[in-house]
Amino acid sequence: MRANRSRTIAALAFLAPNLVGFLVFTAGPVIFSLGASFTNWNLQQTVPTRVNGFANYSELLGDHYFWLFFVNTLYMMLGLPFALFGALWLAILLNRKVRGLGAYRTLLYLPSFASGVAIMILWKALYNPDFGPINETIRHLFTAVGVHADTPQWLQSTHNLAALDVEKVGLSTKQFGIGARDALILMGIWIAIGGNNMLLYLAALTNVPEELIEAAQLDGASPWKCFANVTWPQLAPTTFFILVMSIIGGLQGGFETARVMTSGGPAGTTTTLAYFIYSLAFEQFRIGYASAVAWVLFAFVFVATLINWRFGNRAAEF
Amino acid sequence: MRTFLLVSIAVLVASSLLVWKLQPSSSEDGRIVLTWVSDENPARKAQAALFEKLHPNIKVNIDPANSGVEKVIVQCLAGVGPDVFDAFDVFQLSAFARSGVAMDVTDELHRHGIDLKAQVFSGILGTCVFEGRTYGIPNNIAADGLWYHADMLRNAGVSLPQGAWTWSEMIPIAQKLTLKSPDGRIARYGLMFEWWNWRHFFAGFGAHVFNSDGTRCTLDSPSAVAAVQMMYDLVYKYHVSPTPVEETSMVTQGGFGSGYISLFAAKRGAMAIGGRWWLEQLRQAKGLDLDVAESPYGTTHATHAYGRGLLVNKDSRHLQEALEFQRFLASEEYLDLINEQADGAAAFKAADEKPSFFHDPHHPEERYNAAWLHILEIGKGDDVSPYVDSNTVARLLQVQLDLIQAGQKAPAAGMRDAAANINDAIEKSVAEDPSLKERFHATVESTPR
Repeated sequence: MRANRSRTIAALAFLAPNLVGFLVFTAGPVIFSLGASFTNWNLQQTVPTRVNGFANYSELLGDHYFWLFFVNTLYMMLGLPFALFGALWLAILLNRKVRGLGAYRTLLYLPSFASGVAIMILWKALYNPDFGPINETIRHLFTAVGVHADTPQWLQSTHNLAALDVEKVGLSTKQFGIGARDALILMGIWIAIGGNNMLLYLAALTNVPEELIEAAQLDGASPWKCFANVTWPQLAPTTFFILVMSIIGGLQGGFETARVMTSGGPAGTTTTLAYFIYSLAFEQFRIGYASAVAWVLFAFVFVATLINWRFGNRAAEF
Repeated sequence: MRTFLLVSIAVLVASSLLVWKLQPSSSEDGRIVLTWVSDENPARKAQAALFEKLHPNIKVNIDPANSGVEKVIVQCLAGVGPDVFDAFDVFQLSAFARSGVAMDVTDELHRHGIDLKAQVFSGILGTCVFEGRTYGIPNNIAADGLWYHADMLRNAGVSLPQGAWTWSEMIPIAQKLTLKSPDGRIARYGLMFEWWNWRHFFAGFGAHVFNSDGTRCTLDSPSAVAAVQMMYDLVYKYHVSPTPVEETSMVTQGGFGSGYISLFAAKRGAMAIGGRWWLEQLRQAKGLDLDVAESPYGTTHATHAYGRGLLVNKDSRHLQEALEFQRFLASEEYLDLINEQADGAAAFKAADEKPSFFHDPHHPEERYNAAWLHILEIGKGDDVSPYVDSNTVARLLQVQLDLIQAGQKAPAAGMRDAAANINDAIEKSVAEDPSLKERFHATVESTPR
């Protein structure tokens, strides 16, 4: 009994530095923010701070900006399937035994090493409507095929492919087109394809048993059937993991890009819930309300993960 | 195992002590260190150096990394704020004053014979005085005039009227100065202005964001709509100023200053609305033949005045030294330095009326400082409402300005929606605060309709 207690104390002592850090810098603020979400706490101290029950949560339900930015957040996640399958496609290419494979892998993973801000500034230049290489290329293509059309205004435009309205949750045909949100989605896909998802798929592909593929080939399966019936099922746990993490990241995302590239504009079209929380807390100083939004965002993430777990986990088992 | 554990704990304790020892000290070489949160303007170094020369017992560390209202407020409330910090406009001052981090120095300045209302230009008072109480001393002042390339105007055979003139006089001149390249793109704009500078147009049209008691947003007033309509027309009707897309294509510069100044210096614009502080960059461009005139106005002979006010953290660990630094901003040495550096202009009128201001021997080509003095005199500050948070106002207005600037909304519709949204915000803010509610209703009831 004494030996057990001694071992427990020793284990706790070893864990202490990390545990204390977690409690003080993660768990503590999280619990604190939960408490703050039930108060009217405002850093400008115009009103004495007091507990206001569920007032922030009920305000949030009727706050059309919250829903507007929630829709923005969901729209920005439309790139996730493309990013996922793009990463898989790249991993399959990089899993082939070709000369210079190491160099290809390094080159394609390079964006993950580069500073996020640097990448965003680079893309900002690429999206320059007048002189950016993207629009220059589009203009050349238009000229080659004889099309007379305007090139997208990218980060300057409120347009979007789903024709989402700018000022209210709903659709507006006036807003149909390519704009800032689509520009950020494209950039996000580019970053994600060569990133950690590709590495995860690459690791998973190396674990697919060769004998299964060989057996399928001996049975006369085409390369596509081999992939669809042997490789893809073997990748299911990895796909499930990437999907869950991508959805969590997507719901929490959009802050850095909005901060660096668009300041949430034009007209709030690239403001996601994460940026909205920042704006509420540190620009409008409404800490209580910002905490409530943060917790509702947490609830969305939690529910999305539960749904994934409930249905996706079953699909991943084989 | 026990030995290993004890050694680990000892290493952790020793590391903690080492970090404690290495933390930045509040005194250096026996000198007290003041932290000044300001912008990254290189001129700040010379300003801090001058103070250190006059006060050898104090060192000033400039901290541009923490410039930002939210950072300063959060740090001050957490007890780790800077000793002194800048408020860049009336909105920031209201945030600092309301959050209780800025020290009320009304009595302090009175004791030292500093009377801002009598000594500084009225347009800058808003960055220092909030609801009748004084919190800061202005670091500088700027008011926007019209920069122009005198040689371009000469070559085009046009001249600008002396003194006050209107937009209707300006437009044909700007059109004459706008040049197109063979591919149809505009190679030189007649007039350059920045959309964030909507307050300049507001001043010239006598428009206000709020009514006089701050109880209602008046962005939908005819004067406010006319101001924004003029901005819109300069771009889309008269084609003398860049569209947002053209603006993005041209402005690429980062760092301190403005990309617009570089473009103006590169002669992409014949005229530009800007302040005397542009000289900090324009002096680096050689061979320019520059001059300054009053900016045109719509209905009111006025321009927008702005600048910075230096505030003191009321919980500063070096309060006396911080107050000393604040008062330094009223000294002759500091005011002369501001004028020499062209960091805007000195906010104290007496410094701008000295012969050395009109004829700087180091810059004899700058023959237009008399024009700047006049522009400063007609400068009007910002108005603010006690009933709504200024950042909320800025955000709600920005959404509409984005839509107007992009040509997606007519100015009248955009300003109407901005006013409606801001009035909703006022209503909400008043409902949340019983004392504010009481004050609001008392004000509304006492105002004759």
